[in-house]
Amino acid sequence: MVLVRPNPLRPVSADEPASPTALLQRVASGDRGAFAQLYEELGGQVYGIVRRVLVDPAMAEEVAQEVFVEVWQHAARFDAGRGSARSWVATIAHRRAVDRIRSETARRRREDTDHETTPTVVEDSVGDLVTGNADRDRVHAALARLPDAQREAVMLAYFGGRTYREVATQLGLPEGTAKTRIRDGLIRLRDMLGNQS
Amino acid sequence: MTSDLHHLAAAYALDALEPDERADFEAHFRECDACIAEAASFQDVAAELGRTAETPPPAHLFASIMDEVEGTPQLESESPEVRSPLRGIDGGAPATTAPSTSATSSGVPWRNMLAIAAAVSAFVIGGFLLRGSLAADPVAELASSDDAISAQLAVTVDGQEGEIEIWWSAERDEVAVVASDLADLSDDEVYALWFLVDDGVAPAALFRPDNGSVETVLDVDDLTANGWGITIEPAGGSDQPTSDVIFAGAL
Repeated sequence: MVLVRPNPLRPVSADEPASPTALLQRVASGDRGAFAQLYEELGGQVYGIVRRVLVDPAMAEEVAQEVFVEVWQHAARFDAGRGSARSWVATIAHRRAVDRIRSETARRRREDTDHETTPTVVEDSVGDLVTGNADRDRVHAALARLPDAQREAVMLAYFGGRTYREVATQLGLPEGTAKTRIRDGLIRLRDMLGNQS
Repeated sequence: MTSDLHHLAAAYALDALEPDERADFEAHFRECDACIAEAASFQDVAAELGRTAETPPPAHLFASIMDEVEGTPQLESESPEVRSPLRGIDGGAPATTAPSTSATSSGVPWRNMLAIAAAVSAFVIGGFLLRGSLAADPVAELASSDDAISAQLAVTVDGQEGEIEIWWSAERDEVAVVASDLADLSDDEVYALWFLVDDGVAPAALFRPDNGSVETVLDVDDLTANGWGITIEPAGGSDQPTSDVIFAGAL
């Protein structure tokens, strides 16, 4: 007989699993069990973001660990009145991944005379990707409805970890155009996704 | 606000500003509520984008993080007047965490055991559900002794099947192992139960399930356990764990 085993990291109760925001508030008071649950909820997203930006799995692991340790240390600074825990953690994850890739790039530039690195290929064929997860599918659908030029700029900046100047260089655009595409793309996505994050 | 800076909110939220621009824009938050709100709303959009990248992390990352968190104090909340949409993240400052040691921590199962055990300790519950008849059952007899403590162990690696419950009487120096749905092992392997003690681990007992189940009482050394860990070891057992911890629980 195969038993469906309850997840050992969740409290044994009939209640709905706690939201990341509720968990993060408990983490702020030193609750390691809540932290473990928060990892359950957000570990995939944090690792996914840093992995996409950094590409290198070992580096991604290292940065994902830094992110969660930072979340642990700074949980008391989280203010639920100003946004969701998911957004707070994802923001830290992306910032740390980008900081890392830029310092790695800077380091490589110092060490190598040949610094013409191949640009990261950024996947932007999101058209008919269905993941079976309602939240992700909603984002994929919104991305698919974005004009190609805006999607390209947004994806290159976010997942490619590029500054808008680098986006401009890579796409052969004036800087102002790259900046505008990123901004217009995000405004459009914000409208499509609503304020429910 | 200057319109120039205002238009940087989107690139800021994607971390797509040059360092000097990022610093300028963050300085600008002190005088511009609109930019804070705008940047925050774009950060929410960015977080949504991040969902599309969701990838299961390597199984050992959790233990490695819990291990580091174990020795990391939390910082007090700063003054409530941090003017940033980052909701508390340091502006452009470098990461405040020490360089992580995660790259070197794989294959060190037991050092993480206490951390894992501590993380799950809130959910260690008496396993009364598993207790059936008390009559003529050595496990039930042990479980009914006054000083018996039980722990339902938690799975610590992805994909591990099974349930393990430990009853321990320090007075009798006995543990009862009650497990179900475990993988059966080859003849040259055995499940090992470890004491988690203050300065590491100590071997407690070995057991071997039959058709995935075991229900047995075993003699153990006179030690004070903080928790338990389970590994798979070569038949005959080992002095130290030689493979990943697959279950753990704190007392």
